[in-house]
Amino acid sequence: MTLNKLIRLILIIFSLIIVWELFVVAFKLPEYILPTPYQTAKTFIAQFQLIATQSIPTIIETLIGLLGAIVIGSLTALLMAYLKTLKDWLKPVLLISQALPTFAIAPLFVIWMGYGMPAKIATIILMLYFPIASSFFDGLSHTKSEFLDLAKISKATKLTTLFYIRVPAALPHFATGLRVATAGAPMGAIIGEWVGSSKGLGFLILNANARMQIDVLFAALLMLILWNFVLYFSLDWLLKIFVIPQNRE
Amino acid sequence: MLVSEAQLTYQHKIIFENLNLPFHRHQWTGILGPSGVGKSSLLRMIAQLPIQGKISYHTDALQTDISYMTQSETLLPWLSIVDNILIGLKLRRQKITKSDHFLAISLLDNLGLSECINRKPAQLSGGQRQRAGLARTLFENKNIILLDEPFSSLDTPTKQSCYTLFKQLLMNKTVIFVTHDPLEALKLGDHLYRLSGQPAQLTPVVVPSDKTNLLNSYDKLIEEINA
Repeated sequence: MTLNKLIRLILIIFSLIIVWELFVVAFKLPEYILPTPYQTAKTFIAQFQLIATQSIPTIIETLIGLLGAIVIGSLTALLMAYLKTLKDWLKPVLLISQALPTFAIAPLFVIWMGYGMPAKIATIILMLYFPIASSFFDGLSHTKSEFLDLAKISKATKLTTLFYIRVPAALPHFATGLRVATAGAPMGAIIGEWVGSSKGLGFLILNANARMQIDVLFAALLMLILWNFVLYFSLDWLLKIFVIPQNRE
Repeated sequence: MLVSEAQLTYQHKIIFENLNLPFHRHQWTGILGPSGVGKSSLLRMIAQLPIQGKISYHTDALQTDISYMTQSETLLPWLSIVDNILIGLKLRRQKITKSDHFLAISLLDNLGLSECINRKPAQLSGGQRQRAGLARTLFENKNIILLDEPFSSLDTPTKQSCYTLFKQLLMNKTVIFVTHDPLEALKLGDHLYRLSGQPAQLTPVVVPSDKTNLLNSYDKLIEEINA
């Protein structure tokens, strides 16, 4: 991140906080409707141990879910690219996975897998499977024809064409899907926790809401935003190192 | 024959039919014609690459003996130049030996690309990329070289130096090249054919014996620009 970008980011956050503070002051909102940024920060520090303990399961779920979706989604895309007949069979499955409303399916996962982490991880995988598989497959099926000519003239096998030509050429598409998925991963965890759980940030938010502890709710939200930032920018950084420069033309 | 009784139909329109192209071994054969006439398709037929439209033809060229270069360089952007030279081996699941590596590097050396060995294609100029493509062609060491307007994206001085280089290094190969530039065709071709008409016909063009004289002044000018 350049200095300019950093300054801009700080300015954005600062402006949002000021707007928030002004909003509360202008409408004379009581603490139980909307706490001020100052109160939120105070709660965040005072309740930090609680919030931190509750974020650990959420963070673990997000990471495992994201990883699972990457593995399953990429495998689907690779299989679809390698076997044409399988593509015709799997494409509807992909679409169905996207059409299923996560909120409606998540309670089912709780019934099937219980209150523990597996149900949350399944929710995240269901949510992220489509963006990863479809964007990667899209990249795999739009390899430049010149590259495929090269493979043909070099007497490449179907498998070497896939791994030495089509996969590297599809990496920018894969990166796009991964970015979308990463931005959605923590939300998947929260949805999973909302429909039934005994720990996690989603559980804390739901609980705080029910008890009218709006300041705790906001402090938990702040933690969620921070986690989302860390996750997204780490991934962005990894992609910039390993994936993107390879394909710069 | 290199291609005999070739026919291409695209969207119910006959692009060409009953086309025959003789096999001039160890010489340069040029096919000259306007765009859209089917030059590239003819070349792709020889290479047995997929073509849009309905086709039928015979060829005496073996696909295993063919190299194919186009104007849009086929260097893979994610590989370094030396890896681009060696990609054919990888694609055929052949082991890359030390001597393969050595040969690739010495070819790049000969083509004045010794500084570019570990660079990515995007870091090279157009002329350098075209030379790297030639290095791969030479590395693959096939007898039939197909060139589909390989110089058309280059500026004139670079083009001129590429002509000399390609002519020199592909001396004993059977080269078939396609171009829309008459001057390029005259300069490079030992045999020339014009592809034109609807459906397109292949007409032999007499290569003038005094073409060097005709082009002398042109060459001089280019040399001056190059200097």
